[in-house]
Amino acid sequence: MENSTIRKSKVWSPEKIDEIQEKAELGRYRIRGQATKRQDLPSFDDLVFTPAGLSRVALEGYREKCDTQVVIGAGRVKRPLVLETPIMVAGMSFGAINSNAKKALGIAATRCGISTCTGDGGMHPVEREASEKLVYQLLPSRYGLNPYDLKRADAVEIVVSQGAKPGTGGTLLGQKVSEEVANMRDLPLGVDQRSPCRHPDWMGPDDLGVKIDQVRIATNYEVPVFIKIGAGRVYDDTKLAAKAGADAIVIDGMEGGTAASPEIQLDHTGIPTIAAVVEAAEALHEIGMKDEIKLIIGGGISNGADAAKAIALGADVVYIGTAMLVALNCNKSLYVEDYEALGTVPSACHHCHTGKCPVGIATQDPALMARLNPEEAADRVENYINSITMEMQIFARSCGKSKVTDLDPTDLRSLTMSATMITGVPIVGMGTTRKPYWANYDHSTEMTEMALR
Amino acid sequence: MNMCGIGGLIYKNSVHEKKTGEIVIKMLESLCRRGPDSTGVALLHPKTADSLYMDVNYEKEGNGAKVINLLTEFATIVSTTDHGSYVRALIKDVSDEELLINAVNNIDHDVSVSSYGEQLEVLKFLGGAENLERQFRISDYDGKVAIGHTRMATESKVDISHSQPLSCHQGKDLTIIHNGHITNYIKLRSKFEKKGYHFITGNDSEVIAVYLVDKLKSGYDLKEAMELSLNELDGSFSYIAITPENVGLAKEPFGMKPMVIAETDDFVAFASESMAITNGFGKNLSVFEPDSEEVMIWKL
Amino acid sequence: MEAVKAHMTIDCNEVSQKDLNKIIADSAKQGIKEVLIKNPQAKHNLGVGITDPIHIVYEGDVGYYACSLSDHISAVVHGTAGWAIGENLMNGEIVVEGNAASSTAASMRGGTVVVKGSSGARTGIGLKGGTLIVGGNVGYMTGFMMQKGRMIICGNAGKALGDSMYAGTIYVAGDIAELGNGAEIVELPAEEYEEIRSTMEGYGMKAPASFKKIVCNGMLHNFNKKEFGVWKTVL
Repeated sequence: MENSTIRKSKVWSPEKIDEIQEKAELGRYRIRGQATKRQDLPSFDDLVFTPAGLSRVALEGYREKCDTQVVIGAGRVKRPLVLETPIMVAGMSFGAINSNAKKALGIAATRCGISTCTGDGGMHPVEREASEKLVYQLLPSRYGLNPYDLKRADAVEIVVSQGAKPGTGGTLLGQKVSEEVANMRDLPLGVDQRSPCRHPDWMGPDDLGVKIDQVRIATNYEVPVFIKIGAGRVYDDTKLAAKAGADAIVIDGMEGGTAASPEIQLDHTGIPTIAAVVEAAEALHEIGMKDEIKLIIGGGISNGADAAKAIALGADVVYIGTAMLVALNCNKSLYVEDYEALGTVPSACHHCHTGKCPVGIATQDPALMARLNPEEAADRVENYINSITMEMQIFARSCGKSKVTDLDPTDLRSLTMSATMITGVPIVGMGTTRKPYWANYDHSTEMTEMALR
Repeated sequence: MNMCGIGGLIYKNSVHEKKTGEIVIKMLESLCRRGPDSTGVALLHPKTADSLYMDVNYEKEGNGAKVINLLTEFATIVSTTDHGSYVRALIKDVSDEELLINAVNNIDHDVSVSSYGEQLEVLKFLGGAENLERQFRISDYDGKVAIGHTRMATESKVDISHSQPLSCHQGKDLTIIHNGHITNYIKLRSKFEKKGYHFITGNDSEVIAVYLVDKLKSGYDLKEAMELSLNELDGSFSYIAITPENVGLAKEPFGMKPMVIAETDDFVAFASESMAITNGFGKNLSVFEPDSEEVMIWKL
Repeated sequence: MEAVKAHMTIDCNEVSQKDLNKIIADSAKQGIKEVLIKNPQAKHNLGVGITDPIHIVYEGDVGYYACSLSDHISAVVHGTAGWAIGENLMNGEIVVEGNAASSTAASMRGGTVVVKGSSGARTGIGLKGGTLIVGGNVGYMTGFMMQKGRMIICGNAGKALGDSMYAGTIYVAGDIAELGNGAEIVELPAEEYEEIRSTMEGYGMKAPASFKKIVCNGMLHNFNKKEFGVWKTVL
């Protein structure tokens, strides 16, 4: 019976076999939504906080205040963006998601004193009404861009690229290009849409300064201007964005989500968020602008631990996109038969690109949209945002800090060598902090030191 | 890797409304925002017997004196000035140029020849055009060609050796000014190093100078060399190459980097932004933008 | 109350870019009909975000983004224009007497932009409406991802003309270096020629004797079409 054992190959895994056979059928790369599904990325989970004990004193959870407010553009623009908690709803276009989802996110963000972002596809009136603080994206595609909406925005985000797919433009399959989407984007109905990878009217940081000026004039110098860049050459890009004159820089790690992207790109481009935040913070520090220019980090942030760790490593604010959709109901175990019809199950769905979202978020189909009640969904998102705020406060207070933004890298320790190499945060235990007492008697410790360097 | 501003002019005859240097400095002043990190200019001088313009970058204090001492050993000094991180020299009676260049480069890690030529002189300094003017009195220059560069470093170091114009140590009287990035720099550099070329900076633009010198040595003229470069250099670029005989301008196939030209019977001016031309000449001039994938040559 | 003047003059030597734009915007709001911009010196961002009707006369060259992100304006540039003149123009009319650099009328959504000279790379890129007329030649990637509107080119066109266009129409009188992916030449109906001729006449321009009409062939509209060669080059 030696041949009866079924052995699966790692090289030719079932997933790889599927992939090849699907491509053999499609004649193109696979396109899908959500984010990379790689299991091997370093993440914020590789870090832990080192709370107060005797060397430091913790703050009392219920009585002692822990401030969470962050202001973007203070001292630089007439109307800085005030966020009551260092969280922003990341850019997700009207088109990728529908107006019910936009409305729910807007209501929740307004209640929590934070912002939402238009994404690529123009400013939907429902979103403007629901969201008190709305960031208006200016992308290479320029869909729906106009001076009136610019003047109605509370911040303008010039998007260079997105963490899920840096170096390429957006994609929206024809199934989602409904009449309203087509009108807002000036596209033919039902066309497979592909957006350009670079801006039509500026090509580099030298031209970018002039572009930022233009946006400032068009918005009467009132609101902050952000530059958003998918994490790639983060250190240099951050410096250049700062020099070009941005008030805030958004760095979007490779775990960032998308409604439609070539799958190969999700898995193989960009650098993980934990590394991106460190490089960006280092760059701003290097040019002496760390305090003046705010650093916004996105890409796979899911809870208060991720957010607080990103802040400790140098971010001022975190961008949350996918997790907000999850709070709306994305991947929830409802309408299970519709998930099955798509060939998936709740908790593994990435079919945003098909426009057949079973829970009515990433779809323009009226029947599916009706499954998302914006008022109820807003409550869920509000609760979720509040939970992250409270979680961040737990870490700040336990580290003896009355402001979440006072968290710093020395409040962290790393669990893995790779996280230590990436962040510079010492590994748990003796780590790089001091030499063990027996180090002088044992020459093998020299090897450890060398490895740590 | 550089994002930057380019600005310069060629006078075709002796009708100079303003001094060449005065115009180029004004042009570079208005391009400061495109490149605040450093400013440089290439000047073309008339041919005189046996003299050699030699410009040397250095970083460490004291190495300027060492450079001047060494030049004294190898040549007769016509003039030298030490600018704190740059030595400007005009020398004579150099018996072996290659030996001299190697000797200068070997003084210390931070010392390297910036440019050498019988007619071409390259002057550069950190900061804006006003710094360059203060150091070298560029506005006094009234020769035929002055073309400059303001640099915004995107990847490589901010220092004088990485500033532009950039030259190749194996070819005198050729310098280049580049806006953009050469994305196959690493592969090209390794190929040229195998061929025996020395690279002195980590700036990708340097490979353009080496590329052109290599092509000229292989028997191509400047126009042919620049045309070949459109396919062999990858990335985005508008670049200008200057020799005592020709000035050439090349734009990559993607049309990504700006460049406008104004030409009259008396001069040709080019700049990344027409603002620089207007500012340089103090009046409006009709400008046009050459198309992508184009090479233009002006014979001097 | 002070009577509103019909005309005013702004000298770029005397005001900052910031003030200049504010003065134009305020003047337009107050109903001033015409503003003369003296000494523009090819400076950038002259006349940005103006959304009330006004006629702007530039007495010389302008830099990047002149008349951009604006609505209801009309403008004449007595000189050459830098990158992206009329970028995202909503409606109105801009006439450039000389040449324009790259990205002319990028993402324009309505109105008319006329360049009497030539225009560089990416002319009319991402055009979302309106009419763009170029008296001379246009450069690489003209009409890339054009979505709506029309472009009338009297001279020659560079490579990748109309590449990845979604819709809209391009008319070219001269030679086309290379058509972009998804663009094709179709026959020009006589009434369309007549319309072009009369539109151009309105700007004192004589239409060339004939035009090639370029439209989108729809080949890139569906990702599931197996056009391997095309996908390889465009995606």
